[in-house]
Amino acid sequence: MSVRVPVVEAITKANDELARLNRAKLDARGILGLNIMASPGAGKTSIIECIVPRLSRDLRVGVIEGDIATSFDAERAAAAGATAVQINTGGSCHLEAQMVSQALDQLPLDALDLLIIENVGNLICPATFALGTHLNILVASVPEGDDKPYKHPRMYRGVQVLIINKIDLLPYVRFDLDRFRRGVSALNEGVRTFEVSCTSGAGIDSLVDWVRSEAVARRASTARVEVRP
Amino acid sequence: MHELPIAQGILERVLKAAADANAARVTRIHIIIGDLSGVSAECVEFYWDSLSRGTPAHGATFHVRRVPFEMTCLDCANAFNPAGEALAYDCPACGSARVRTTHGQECCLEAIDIETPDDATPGRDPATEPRATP
Repeated sequence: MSVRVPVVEAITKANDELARLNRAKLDARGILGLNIMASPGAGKTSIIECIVPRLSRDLRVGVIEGDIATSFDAERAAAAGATAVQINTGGSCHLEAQMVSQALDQLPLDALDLLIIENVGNLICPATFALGTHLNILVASVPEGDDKPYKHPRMYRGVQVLIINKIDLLPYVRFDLDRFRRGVSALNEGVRTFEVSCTSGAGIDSLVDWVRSEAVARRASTARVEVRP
Repeated sequence: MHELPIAQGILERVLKAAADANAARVTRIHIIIGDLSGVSAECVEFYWDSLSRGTPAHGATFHVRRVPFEMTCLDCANAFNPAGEALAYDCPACGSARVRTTHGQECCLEAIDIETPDDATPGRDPATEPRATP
């Protein structure tokens, strides 16, 4: 006779538990963790190159670069002033908490204030795997088209911050910003949005200011916890 | 291809639940997968055969309860599935853009069906087993 045994839990539970351990490592040191996701070519690495030199004036920045192959991106992040570690996923289309855990072991966590994780370029799989970061950031870029919130609803729902990159190209490509915004708002109302161009520098100031203030607030909240008797 | 680690996670959890219940064999795995979850049940099943080989869960079939993408209008309470529509999430009943996603992100293991050692002794088929005479 067959017996039914209830096993109610999230299918991603194993990854979620490792993500929680990663988060605890960051929280113990007051490090703000960001997970940057986007399709290939949206400008994830370019944004990191734009913001790291300016953030590095006040903050110690670590970067974990996820790619299927090569260490180009870690070299670019290091050249921008970050302590960078490359993860080569060897074909896997996304980062998982386990990979980030190994990369964290290679970073001087006690000497960091901000950790930026650049996920593998992909609008599907990264949305399924939590890494333990505090904020998920999606980079959308104008040449990708205004239909992406409709084609990838899961990704647009799962982020706290949206960066629209390459806005300098708006006059040259067909991109209905209003239609794009309506789709985003239906899926993720009130998501914090930055419109930037790494080429012209537009919008980068406010993005840098916001990341800095989030990191400072994170560090301050940890400091308060520590002095509690 | 992210279903490979997902299938590994399900297998680990299923084997643990099976061991806890003293199961000889897992015959069926019940999962709930929303259309927005980004998980393909077919892919999970595809990996299952090779991943579960040599375990009590090998040969188990999947019962998948699919949950469609559903939005609900905040103005008229109409629930609708926006998939396949034109590129818009506006309410088809009243045209409002004030909508919320109400279903589709589900992605969980629900239950397993198991056989206990008594009814799954290798080489024995309970259906043809001679009954003990009273």
